[in-house]
Amino acid sequence: MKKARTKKHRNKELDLIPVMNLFSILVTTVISMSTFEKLGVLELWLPERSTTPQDQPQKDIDEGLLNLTVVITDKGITIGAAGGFQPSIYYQEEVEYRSRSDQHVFRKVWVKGEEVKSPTDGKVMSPYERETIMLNFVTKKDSADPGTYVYAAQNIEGNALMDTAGNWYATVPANGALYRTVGDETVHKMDPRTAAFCKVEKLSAYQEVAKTLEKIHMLYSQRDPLPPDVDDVVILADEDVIYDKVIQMMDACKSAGFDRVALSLIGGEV
Amino acid sequence: MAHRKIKRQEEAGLIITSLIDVFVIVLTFLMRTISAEGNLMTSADNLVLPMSQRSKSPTEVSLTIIADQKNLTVDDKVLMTTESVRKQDSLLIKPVLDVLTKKRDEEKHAEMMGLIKEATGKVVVQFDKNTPYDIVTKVMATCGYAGYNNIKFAVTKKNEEG
Repeated sequence: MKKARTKKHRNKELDLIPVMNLFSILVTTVISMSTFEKLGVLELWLPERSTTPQDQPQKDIDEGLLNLTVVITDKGITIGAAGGFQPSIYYQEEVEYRSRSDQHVFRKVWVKGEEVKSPTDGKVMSPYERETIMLNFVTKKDSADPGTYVYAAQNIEGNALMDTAGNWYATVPANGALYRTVGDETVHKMDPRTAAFCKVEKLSAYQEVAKTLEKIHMLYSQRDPLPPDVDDVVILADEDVIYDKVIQMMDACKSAGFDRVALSLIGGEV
Repeated sequence: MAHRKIKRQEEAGLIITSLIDVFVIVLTFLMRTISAEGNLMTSADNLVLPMSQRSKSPTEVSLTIIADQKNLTVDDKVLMTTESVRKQDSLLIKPVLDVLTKKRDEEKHAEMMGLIKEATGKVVVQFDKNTPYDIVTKVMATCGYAGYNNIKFAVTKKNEEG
């Protein structure tokens, strides 16, 4: 019998070099196309100009309107509406500076009129060297009281957690505890994975404002008839207030359900 | 003379399978993060935009005003310094108003000619996050006076939705 001739095959490796070339080109192209800073836009609502001629007497303020206003000053934030003003929400401003000369980062509590110097080279910091401005919520017994920080558990996104009754959690909620954040009506159950990323930090005044505004929005949404300005809010700020604070406040208003945010200057309408 | 014994070496093949694995992971990650919409808006230099969680994606950008740490720019044209805007008493910024009025007239003319669907009066404003509110109000007032009532603030998205 003739023996079948078996060809001895050598173990041949797949030639992956062309695939590698392809991948190299693809990765380079995708990296060159990608943007790492995502830009967005915040829409501003401008109230329409009144069409009432000047010689005609203007109507009295409509009592059905909410006329919600958030006033930002360098000491606190006050929420006012047609019915009156809420107690002021006081804050302490903490600024994180990044020195342009040596990239040194340091934090300092902001005091009006005080010159801030870099601890490394003693250079006076310019206003544009402020990297992060934090408004820490403080509770005060009276105007002379310097205030006490309020601490709250915060999730990975930096949103403070509150219980179903609307009180901030001072510690990370226990497993199985119910919690929610401002702007999110869904009540979540705490699990060990989420709890691992939560931490207790100083509560931001923006969060406190958002919580108060959310309560107001819920209250007014249940009114019958519904006020025409139920989703409107005007942010009133002093001319020295930093733009970042106004944007953060716009964010707080929008998260509370007020989608139409208008801006105004203390002492004049814009 | 003794012949040097030449050892026949087998070809040393490069094992690149693990490298390919790395590339596949990098590529998958990049494809996931990249936005297919492209970039309608670019942030200016010398400027740090504020962060916002509630921002929307820009849909259309026709006119951009930039107030950075040094200058006030309308459509890439430097008009004046931010310091001089801060110092002026008037609410309207004259050089900006002139440019905006001209552009608004052009926009309205284009609408009449049927070149554009609607003269929406949209403007995107990029302010440095440390800009005093005084400058913001002056720019806004000037935009409103020139007929640009659809003002949008450019921000950096804090976290991507979805």
